[in-house]
Amino acid sequence: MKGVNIQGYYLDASMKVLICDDSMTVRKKLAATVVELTGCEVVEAKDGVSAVSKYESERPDIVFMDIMMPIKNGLEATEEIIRLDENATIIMLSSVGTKANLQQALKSGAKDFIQKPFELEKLKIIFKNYGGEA
Amino acid sequence: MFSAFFGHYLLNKGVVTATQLSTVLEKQGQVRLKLGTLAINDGFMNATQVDEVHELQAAMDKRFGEIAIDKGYLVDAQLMHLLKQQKAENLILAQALIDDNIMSMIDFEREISAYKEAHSLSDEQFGALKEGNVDIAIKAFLAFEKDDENQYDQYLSLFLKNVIRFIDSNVSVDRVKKVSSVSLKNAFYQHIKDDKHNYITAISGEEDVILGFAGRYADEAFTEMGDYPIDALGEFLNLHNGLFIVNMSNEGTEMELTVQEFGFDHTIKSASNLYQIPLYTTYGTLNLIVGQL
Repeated sequence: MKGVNIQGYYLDASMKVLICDDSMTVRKKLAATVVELTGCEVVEAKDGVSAVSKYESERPDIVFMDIMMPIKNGLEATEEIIRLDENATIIMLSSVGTKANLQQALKSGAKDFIQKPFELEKLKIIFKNYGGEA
Repeated sequence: MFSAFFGHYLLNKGVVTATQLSTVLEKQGQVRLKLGTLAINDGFMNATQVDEVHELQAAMDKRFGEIAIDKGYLVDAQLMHLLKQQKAENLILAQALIDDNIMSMIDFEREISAYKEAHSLSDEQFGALKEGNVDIAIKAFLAFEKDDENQYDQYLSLFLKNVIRFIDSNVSVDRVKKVSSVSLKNAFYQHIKDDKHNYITAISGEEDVILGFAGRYADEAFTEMGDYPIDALGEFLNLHNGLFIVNMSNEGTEMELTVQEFGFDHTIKSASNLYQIPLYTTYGTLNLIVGQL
């Protein structure tokens, strides 16, 4: 079933998005933007351990993953999720968008990287690239 | 930016009250400088010509500039110059203060001179302040030790830009104060480390100021301290420090951030250099602390 049109691409409105960030502020802002942009269902996790278990139980189509999180960081959580599902679409989200962090994110299995604060245009590109159907 | 900096100077000097300043800052977005006044001020038109254009304006559906050009009182280049001036923050502030009978034009000019002198502002720095150029204007207020200058200038400049971008366009700073120890209420702090240094960064303030500031960032109306406002302001500090680290990395210096922390009462001591910078915001005064541990 075709859903929301983003830049000529269609998103299945039954898609599910998992947002993993220890900051309540980031989760709320990102969830509100994703819902407004796509109409998708959003689930949240506030640490790396919870991110892995939510991935297993919810099987989201796209995961937004913060790097610096308590208990288990985003890089470790990403590696664990990739071991469970090598096709998982994980987008790393960090306030420290250095080359080193980008390399680490890609090495852990993330498909893309967003520097905080996230920008609407960048999110549209992410959904177009990883959730869209021409 | 100019209005916030100069406005807080007038407030500290007792020339305006806090209520008057907040009214003027709020109002200045709606104040529109009159082209006729600016044209007289610049010597392009005389008062009789301006009155004539105003009368014609009342009778026909045309703009002031169009009529003045039709009548041969202005040329295109002069009109462009006036339209640009119409957006000048210093003139808008002057008009808002004068309209509200808070001061006369003569008082305004005298206070501007006193302000430039009090902060030893060069013409370039004063021009930068009027144009909202944070990088140049900010140097007039900073007094970091020579060895710290470059990094801390960049840090504070980026901090102000981020406050303006995400929270409050009416922010201004006062002079930097060097301290060896500082006791903070409602302190948000985070370390930035590289191979050789351990830097501390912190924001603190009274509860109502923190709530207003955090609320604007999170787009919520916070009424009491709790997990959400603490998270919001901590996240702002983290976001800013992250952007600073990216800039430093682009310049070849790799740094790392620790997790940001919060304390209702927190003391920072340093054997090295520690700086306290007062930030005047719409919500009240905050303190920004930067230094090396």
